[in-house]
Amino acid sequence: MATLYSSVYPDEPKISLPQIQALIDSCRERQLTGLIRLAYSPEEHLYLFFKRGDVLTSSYVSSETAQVFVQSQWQEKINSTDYVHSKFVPLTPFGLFLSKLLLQTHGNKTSIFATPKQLTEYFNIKSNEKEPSFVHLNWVHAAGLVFLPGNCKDPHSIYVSQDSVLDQAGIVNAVYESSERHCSVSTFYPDASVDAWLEYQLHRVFVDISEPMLNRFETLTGRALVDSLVRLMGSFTLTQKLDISFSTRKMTDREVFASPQSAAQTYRLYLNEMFGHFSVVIGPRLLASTLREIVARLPKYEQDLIDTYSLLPGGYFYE
Amino acid sequence: MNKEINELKNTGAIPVVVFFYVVSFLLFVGYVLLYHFAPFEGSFNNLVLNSITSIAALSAAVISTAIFFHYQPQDFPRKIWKSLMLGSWSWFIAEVVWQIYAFIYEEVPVPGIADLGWVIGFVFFTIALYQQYAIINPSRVDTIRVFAIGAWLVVMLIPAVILTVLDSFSLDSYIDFYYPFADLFVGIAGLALILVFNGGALMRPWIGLMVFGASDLLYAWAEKTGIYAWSANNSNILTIVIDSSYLAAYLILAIGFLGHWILITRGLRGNRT
Repeated sequence: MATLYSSVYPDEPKISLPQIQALIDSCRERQLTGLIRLAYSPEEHLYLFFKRGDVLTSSYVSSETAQVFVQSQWQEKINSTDYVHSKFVPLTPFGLFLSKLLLQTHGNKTSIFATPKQLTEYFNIKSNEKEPSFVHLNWVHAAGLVFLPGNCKDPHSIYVSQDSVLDQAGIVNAVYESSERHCSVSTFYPDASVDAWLEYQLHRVFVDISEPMLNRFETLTGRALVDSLVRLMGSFTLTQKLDISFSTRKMTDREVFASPQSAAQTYRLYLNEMFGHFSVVIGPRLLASTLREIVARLPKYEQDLIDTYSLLPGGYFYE
Repeated sequence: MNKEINELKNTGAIPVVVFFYVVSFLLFVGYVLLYHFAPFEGSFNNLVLNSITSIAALSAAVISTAIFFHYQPQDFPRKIWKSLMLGSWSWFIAEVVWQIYAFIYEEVPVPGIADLGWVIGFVFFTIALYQQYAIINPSRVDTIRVFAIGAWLVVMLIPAVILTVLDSFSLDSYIDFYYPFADLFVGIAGLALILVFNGGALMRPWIGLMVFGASDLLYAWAEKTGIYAWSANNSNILTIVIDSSYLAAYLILAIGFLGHWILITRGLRGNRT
């Protein structure tokens, strides 16, 4: 099972059960985003994923399996041992998503790269591909993850070593500057059987629908109404506690979800609100025809996802 | 649909809109009463009536100008509103010129400067309609352009063909015939936009154009069949209906423009429940 945070470094303390609980409470109170890794043995870990202070999901990973734990299961697991190696890794929401994706992914082809130049060339090739992919990098004393959305879009990377955790847009320099010569590289591609990949695909569909809709809205109504829409949707995301925003032409979705179903539900809610405002101005008929036009241009697998997850709000918007 | 209706209700509750509704209503009622009872001496009564129509035309022109200047240069709708503004000012100037001629000479020459204003106005309104359709269907811009030009050619040719066939072609009869067809074209195009924006706030500016089409067609039919002259001579209510519908068309045009002005200046409202 591919992981980034499995290594237990010599300076990592073993903490007691009450201290683990205090760590969890602290994450909640400070509304942190990231993960807590509890290492029961070199090959047995429990991960708690925190999104703005709430436990989003939990994964139990052993040498044989990786499975999602519900709250009662992870509580039981935590209570089962008095002392355990543990650490909190602060992450961006997308970093959290990538960590989740890595845990859920299996089956890959691994190769060994000897120089940073080889890595650079490899990333360039992958960036130009249409399909998204992510690359898991393993050195002896460090690990990394580079997510390449495809179509020349900006990558995102995480680098974990004993000293630091780097999680940022782009490819962190540390990936190229590792003192270790040999790097084991595993590349993963979208897999419909993996929930985290489905969540990412739903995110893509959401953006692929929202951005052209916003562009059409601006074309029809002008900048002032788009600004007004930005304000209204801003207050909507605030009340719904969502980290989704848009400027005039670009949708920024920093949400991470517990499951594809949860992602679809949130996106449906957001689109319903946005389309409600569109409809008031351009009318439901033009809205529906514009939406149909946009959906017709999407790739087949995105159209299938829309149907499977009923992503578009029902009623008069889309038939 | 409830959201759209609520949005219209919200707009209607704004003081400046309420004020405009009240003034429009008073102008309309005043027009009908003045028309029917004619309390002033002959040409002065007509001057007051024509002035009311000019005021309505002026309000549409002023509001469309405010909308045009509110849009940023990079906004696509600014192009539409430039055409609507120029069309509205052309018609306002045409109304004023016609009114001055009517007051001074009582008989207004056809064709005259006023007709030039109305024809130019039609050109600008057609351009506005074309631009609106082009924004709605960007992939069919060429087809829309061909259709707009074709429709204009048809509108100009049909009266000429009919009058030639009837062997009664003259410039003034051509102008008389031209207006109903131009109105019909603009009215149908406006109606189609209302259907496209069905329920949306963007349909408001086009309602007035559709009403103009209906009003002028009614006048053209009554005039050509002689019913208008008969009604005028017999103080029949039909003349009031036809002439007041022309005023109503200007007022509805202005109200539609005002609705759009409110929308773009106040923005979308959150309380849409």
